[in-house]
Amino acid sequence: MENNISEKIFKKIEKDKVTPVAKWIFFIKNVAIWTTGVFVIIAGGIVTALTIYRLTDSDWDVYKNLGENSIIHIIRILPYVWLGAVIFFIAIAYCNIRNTRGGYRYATHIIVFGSIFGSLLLGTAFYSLGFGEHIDAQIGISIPAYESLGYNKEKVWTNPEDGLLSGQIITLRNGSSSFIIKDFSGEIWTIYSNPNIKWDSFALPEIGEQIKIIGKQETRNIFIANEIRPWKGLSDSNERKIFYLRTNK
Amino acid sequence: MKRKELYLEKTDEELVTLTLQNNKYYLYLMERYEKKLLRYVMRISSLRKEDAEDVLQETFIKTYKNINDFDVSLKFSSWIYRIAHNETINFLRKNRVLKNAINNAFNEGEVEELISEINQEEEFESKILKDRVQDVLNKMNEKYKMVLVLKFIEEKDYKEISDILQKPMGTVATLINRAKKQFRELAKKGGNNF
Repeated sequence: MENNISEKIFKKIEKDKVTPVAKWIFFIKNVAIWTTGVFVIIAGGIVTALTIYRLTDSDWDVYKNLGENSIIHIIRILPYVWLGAVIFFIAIAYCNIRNTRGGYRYATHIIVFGSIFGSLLLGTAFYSLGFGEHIDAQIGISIPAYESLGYNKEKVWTNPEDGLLSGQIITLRNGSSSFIIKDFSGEIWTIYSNPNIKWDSFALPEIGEQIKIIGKQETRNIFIANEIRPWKGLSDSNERKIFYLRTNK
Repeated sequence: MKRKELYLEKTDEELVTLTLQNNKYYLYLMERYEKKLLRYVMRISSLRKEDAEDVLQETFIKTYKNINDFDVSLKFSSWIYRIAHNETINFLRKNRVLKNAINNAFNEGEVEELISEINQEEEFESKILKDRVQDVLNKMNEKYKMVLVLKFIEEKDYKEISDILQKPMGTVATLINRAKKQFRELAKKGGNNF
């Protein structure tokens, strides 16, 4: 009588032929959770590298040329889509860790900060290896609409009346004190150097080089340059020579 | 009978290993936990005995099905309590059972222990204390009630409660403090001077 419930349940187990779930199924489940975890960590690292690249490729200081307040400019050019993607992967990593056997033992803030730290660490490593720029370029080639997400660099740097111009060098004249570019809308511009011209160390006065120019529009299709920057934020300088153009003051 | 006595000396974990070889040993595990779990289910849910037995059945069947997934870093008791806890919550969600019933799931000694932990000032009469305490518990937020029962009635430590509820130990400590506070407030409101 005393063991009535247990015996009843045991008889039901035998009658219904209830059997334990096979060990290998739990093994597969654990492997799936850990594999997902590894994938999420790598994906999070890649997205973080992309975000760092986008942040370093943004032009934080040209708000004056655009007549904007610095804070408004920063709000406008923050890479929201990529920051959102980083947050998404951190959230997935959190859920994944919680689903592991011992995941519940850790306080929420430890998991969140650990995930953020891990993403930053891996993302910085990927970025320093050039993955951020490379993947950004590949996505831009594969998905034409990609460039329109976030800060529209081409639009900002095709504002000659505001002193911002960009394009590709097609001809060099008089050394590199004067050259001709084709901007991204197809217009041809003659660029003259200001005597105090500043060439960014990663921008090269070579035919084919894509550059950004800060200066002043003189007339239609003539632009006086004060500063020249590479089109992409910080380029891979390992194989390039650093070149400075100095002029007499 | 003699054979059964032999198994009384076996630990839970040894019985789990034996169960994997021959399922008849599972009966001894169930007998070991039958009363404890039935009382636990009734305490956290205020279910009638018949409904609690249904939950217990589901708990034991689920435990058996998942026995290959038993995490040896846990105590078996924490693991089976976790399953009982989750099955009780599932039952309450599915059945929308009236949770204010007094189901005599507590005994006087346990209630006195609970009261002394929450408020050590008053002396009390134990005969009607059980019903009054259960009345207050029934009004509590579910998660606070469950953690109070686990800590002061089931006498589980923080690590065991963490493993049963699958929450960090810091969270368990916070829940216990808030549970004690809510118990005192509800007791005062209801005119129950413990």
